[in-house]
This record gives sequence, structure tokens and C-alpha cells, in this order.
Amino acid sequence: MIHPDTEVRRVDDVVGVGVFATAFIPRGTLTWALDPLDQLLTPERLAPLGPQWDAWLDHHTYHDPAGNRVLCWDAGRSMNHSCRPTCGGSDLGFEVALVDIHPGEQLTNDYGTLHLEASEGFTCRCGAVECRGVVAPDGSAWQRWLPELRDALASMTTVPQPLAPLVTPAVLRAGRRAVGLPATERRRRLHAV
Amino acid sequence: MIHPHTELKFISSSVGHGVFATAFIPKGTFLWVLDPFDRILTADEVRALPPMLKTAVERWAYVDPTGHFVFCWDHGRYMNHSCRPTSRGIGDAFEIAVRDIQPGEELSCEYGILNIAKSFPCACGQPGCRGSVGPGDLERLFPIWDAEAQDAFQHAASVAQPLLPFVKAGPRDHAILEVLAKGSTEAELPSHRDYRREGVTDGTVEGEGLWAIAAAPARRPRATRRAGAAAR
Ligand SMILES: [Zn+2]
Ligand SMILES: [Zn+2]
Repeated sequence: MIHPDTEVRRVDDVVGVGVFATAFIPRGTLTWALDPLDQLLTPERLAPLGPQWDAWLDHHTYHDPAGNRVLCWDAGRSMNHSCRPTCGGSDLGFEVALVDIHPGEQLTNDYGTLHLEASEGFTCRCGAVECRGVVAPDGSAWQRWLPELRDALASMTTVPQPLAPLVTPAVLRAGRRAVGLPATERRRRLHAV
Repeated sequence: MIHPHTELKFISSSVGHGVFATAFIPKGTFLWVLDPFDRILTADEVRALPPMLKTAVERWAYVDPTGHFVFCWDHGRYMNHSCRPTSRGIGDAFEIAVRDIQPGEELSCEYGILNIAKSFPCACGQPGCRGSVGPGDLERLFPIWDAEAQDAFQHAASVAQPLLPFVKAGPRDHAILEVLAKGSTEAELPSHRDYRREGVTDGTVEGEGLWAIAAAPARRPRATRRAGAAAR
């Protein structure tokens, strides 16, 4: 579930919609949490689908580290990419604000951390100073935001957390422990929770 | 899945959101179909949800004739009720446009078939507004609703149907799909009356809203799972 102080707004005809803060969301706030209404689409569940679903899957779902697609039930699925994202941590089963997000600012992810397939790369016009120009499968994306993610996780206890009821202490603890581990080890630890 | 030429718009704090056409949609077009990613939840599954998610399901799901909650994955779940709706339900998985819909017009459906537990006041503002929508409306009005659906279906084979490849057909939808595949509309459509969940009359159910109805035992449980025909 996406943070309640957000709304979906149209950005433009190229980007479509995005998720915007409607109130101040301080760094360290849980901005999204995987919840029981989000659907985990395993390869077995996707196998019987015809090719008419391909574009839909690319548009509305993302890849988790275990090779499933995830369909968020709410505005979580409308979060856009930025090469300077305001949110991060999706592999952990939740995301936190990497920076203070002010009303009217967009909640974004670095899609490089979302396990893109080779065919899913795209030309970026996010406008960030750090803009990479092309977003493609990117093994180093997680490391890139690790310092920001660690700082954000460290300030979690000092800010209001409206999504706290959706993140169990076990998930939170496992996420904080796994954040700095290599990808395969991170996956193994989180899968066990 | 809701028709691609629609968008979610905020109406007011009292009404909430609504679904609006972004292009002309002709009569006979399927405005919504049940698809494999609409969640079908049992009452126990809803009961086990964290409170903030339970609230969302109670507000935006509808109840099918077997007492399951149907929670649409997309903005189809925000369709509002109207006493003169833009669509009627057909079979288990279709909502069909009963008249031409202009760009900017709100899409609406009939909550009277959605197995609501209690009457709610209606201020849809349409000519013929019933003022109150309740569980008993179906028994009284289904012949009118059936006739509108049957009339609209005559156009179904001659307009674009972008949702057809995505439908998750229920037991009574296969005949509909078969005639359409032949380019025909010669089919006797199932009646709205069959969507009614048994054992429910206005005021007989304790509790509030959809939740109460799904928790109440059906007098005659049905063997097959059927989804209602409209999205909220
Ligand atoms: Zn960029
Ligand atoms: Zn009315």
C-alpha cells in the first residue's frame, strides 16, 4: 500500500500519471509496503496468459528479486522512475523515503533496482542532474543508493509511520539486516521471512 | 478490467472518485469485464486483512451471488451507482454500454444487483432517481434491466470490443462469447435476477454495508462461483 498522503496525477502524455505527495513526508518514512492485496504473479500463474497480456504486464507490474511479477492494488503501481529517486528499498518488501518529500513532489524509484529485463530498458528524461539517459538492467543500482537507504532506515523511528501496521517487526528486522548484503544473499534472507 | 478510454477523476469529498470516458464509446461496447487479476476474496480472507486494507475492500468491492467479495484491480472499482446507469450487467463477467457515451461523461452502473445489505439514499440526479437504492429493487426492476441489456447486446458484434481478449468468463458467459465469435448477437441472455444472493432482504442483515451480507449465510448455497456483473 502506498503512503496515504499521496495522490495520482497526470504528468503529461508521454509519462502518463505519477504519484505525488499531498503532505510533507520526511526521510525515513515508509512510503510503500507490500501487502496482502498486492498480487504475486509467479511464472506458473503467468504461463497460461496469452500475448495480449504482454503490454499490460510491462505497464502495471514490476519484477521482484525472486523472479515473480508484482501487481500492486493501488497507486503503488503508478510510481515513476527517476535517476535521482525519492524512495528506495523495494527488494525489502517495503520502501522508505530517501529524502524529505515535500507536498507536490513526486514519489519515484530507480527502476534500475527493479530487476528490469533486457527488453524493458528505456530512454530517460527524468531531468535529474544524475540522469543516466538510458535506464537498462543494472546490477549496480542497489549499491548506488545504499548510503541513502541506510541513512533513511536509521531515521525510521524518529518520524510518523502510517504504514507501520502493514510491516511486521520480523520483516522490518530482516530488511534492515539484509540491506547491505550481496543480491543473492539478500534474496535468500528475505525469502526466509 | 475497465474500458481503456476511461480515467479516474475526483468528484467531491462526499462522492469520492468516479470513472469518466476520455473518448466516445458507442452503445453495445463492453465497458468492464471480469479479468484474471480481479481479486475474489472469501469473507474469511477479508476478515483476516489488516484494518486499513479491510476498509478498502469494504468500500470498493462488490458481493457476488456466492457471497465472495470481488475487488477489481483497476479503477473499475470506483464506478458509481446511477438509477439511469450507462451500463447493465450481462452474464457473469460483462458490463455493456446501454447507450452512446460522450467524452467526459461519467460511467455508472446499478448497485441494486450487487447484493448490497441495506438501502442507501441516492442523489444521482437522473430522471427517475429512486431516491433510495435497496436489496428489494432487483426483484421489482429486473425485467427493465434485462430488456436494456438485451437491446444493447444487439450492437455488441458491430462495435469495437477492446476488453474481449481479457475476460475471465464465468459459467454463463461461454454462450455469449460463442455467438460473438461468430459475429452474431443471437443469444438469450441470463437474467439479472440470477445475480441475487439467496436469503437476503432489506434490514434482515445485522451490521454495515457489504461486509454484513458476505458474513450472512446464504439460505441456498450455490455450487459454482459466480461474479456479479458490475464494478463499484
Ligand atoms: Zn533519468
Ligand atoms: Zn438515483
